Amino acid sequence: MEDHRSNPIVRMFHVHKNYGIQKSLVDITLDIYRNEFIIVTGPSGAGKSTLLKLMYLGEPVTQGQVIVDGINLNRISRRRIPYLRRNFGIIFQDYKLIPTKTVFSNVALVLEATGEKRRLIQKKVHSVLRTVGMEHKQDAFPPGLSGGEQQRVAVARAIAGSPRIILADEPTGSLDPDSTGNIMALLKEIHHRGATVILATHDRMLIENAGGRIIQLVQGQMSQNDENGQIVNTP
Amino acid sequence: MKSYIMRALRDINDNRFLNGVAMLTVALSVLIAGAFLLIWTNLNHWMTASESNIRIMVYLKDGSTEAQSQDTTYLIQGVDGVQKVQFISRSQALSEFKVQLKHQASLLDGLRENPLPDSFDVELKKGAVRLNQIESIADQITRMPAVESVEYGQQWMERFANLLNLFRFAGMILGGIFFIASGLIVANTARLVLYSRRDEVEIMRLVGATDLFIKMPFYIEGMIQGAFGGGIGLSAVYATYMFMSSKLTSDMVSGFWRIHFLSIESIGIIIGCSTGIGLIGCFLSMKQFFRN
Ligand SMILES: Nc1ncnc2c1ncn2[C@@H]1O[C@H](COP(=O)(O)OP(=O)(O)OP(=O)(O)O)[C@@H](O)[C@H]1O
Ligand SMILES: [Mg+2]
Repeated sequence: MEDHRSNPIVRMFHVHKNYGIQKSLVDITLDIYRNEFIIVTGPSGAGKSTLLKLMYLGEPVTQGQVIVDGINLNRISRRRIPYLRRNFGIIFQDYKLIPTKTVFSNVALVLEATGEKRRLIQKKVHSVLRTVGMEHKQDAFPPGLSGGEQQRVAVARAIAGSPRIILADEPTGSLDPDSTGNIMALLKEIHHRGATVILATHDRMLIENAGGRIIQLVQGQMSQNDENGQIVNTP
Repeated sequence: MKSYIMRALRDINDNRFLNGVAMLTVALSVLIAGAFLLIWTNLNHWMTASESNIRIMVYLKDGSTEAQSQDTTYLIQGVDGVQKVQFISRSQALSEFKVQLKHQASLLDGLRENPLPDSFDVELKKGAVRLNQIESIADQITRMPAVESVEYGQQWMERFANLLNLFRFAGMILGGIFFIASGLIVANTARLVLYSRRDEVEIMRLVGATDLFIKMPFYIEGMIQGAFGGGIGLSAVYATYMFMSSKLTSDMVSGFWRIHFLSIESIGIIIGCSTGIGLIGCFLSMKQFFRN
């Protein structure tokens, strides 16, 4: 793990994020290393989702620098943004499924956008839907699914493109304990296969079982569970 | 590419009403532009045909000698663009006139003297002559010493040519206005569709789709709208043409009045233009939508 530490995949330097007068993140400095499993926690409204959004330019920073895989997001060209985003598999807190597309098409979209071959798309989509236990609903439309089912489709879409970084924003918020356990096991497996996992949650159960570095946010301010910012509980 | 086209067709089906309206406006502009073009081509065709048939009648001065008319024949033959010169003596002209008058020929019996002059029937080279050339040929002949006057139906030709130009101008303006209007309506359709699907577009961007990937189906949609609208408009022009030509040919005996449909090239250009309009309309609204 030592060599990973010298090579952060996401870096934040004195990052501030304001929405109007609302200060959502205040002076965040943070390095996330390759193949880390990192948990961002804190009460509702603390700025967890906002922190993740800054990484894929879902929102621009107000002040400070965000560097992803060596690229400073303040200086990235518009044209490169889609390629930046392909580094991430994002499980959005509000799922962000397209209501007019089937479950299958929603998941396939990520692969189509990167120009994958049709046959490969079919195979991969079926495979990830099976992984989250949604293959039987592949022709359904998201509005006809329960919250938990939608969330599992969102997970399937996030992992379909085999991204290097998983951003999981409250990925088990709508799930029962069994499904929660499945999704957590899935995230861990992806982590073991080499991905960096960044998980935002306020679920104590998850935090205790996850076993990774924990970033605590309170009202936009960060404190780690180790004053040196050292990784604790390395898996 | 295939999947882009599939996505575009699905979009069109999902937004049938908007797409229908856009196609109909394109069709309407093509109908108007096509109708003007059809009429203009036929008039132009007809005019070219008349020009290539044109003859100049040259009347000699009273009391011209045979030597003078012989000289004039040579002079006229020397003029560029002249195909054939035929001398018609006054007595020949009179007898031809009598034949033409048929039953009324007895009217001429009362004449003591032949009032007709010697003349030449000048035939011009086919195809090579246009209106302004005819004028210059006629001018040259008029200036010849033994020539009294020259006749070739110049006035109606000129008026007709002016009318034709005016007509073309009006057609271009009207067609242009309608094409611009349909371009704007196509743009508006694309904007409404984009707006109704902005969440979807936003999600696609968040999962790493390039703008091109997102825009492509819309472009294809615009092109389909343009091409189909153009096809519908041209079909309407064709239907009108069939109707008109069946009426005309039964009413008029002369093959001279046969009307022609637009050439393959014109059809290609019209369809190309309407497809281009669809594309440009789309491009405009995309540019606006993706600016932020
Ligand atoms: N688009 C926005 N416009 C204005 N304010 C916003 C926006 N997004 C977030 N905020 C504010 O920023 C703060 C942090 O929001 P954020 O969504 O990051 O919290 P969170 O930690 O993810 O909360 P939760 O656990 O409820 O998801 C909140 O006070 C929120 O009201
Ligand atoms: Mg959140």
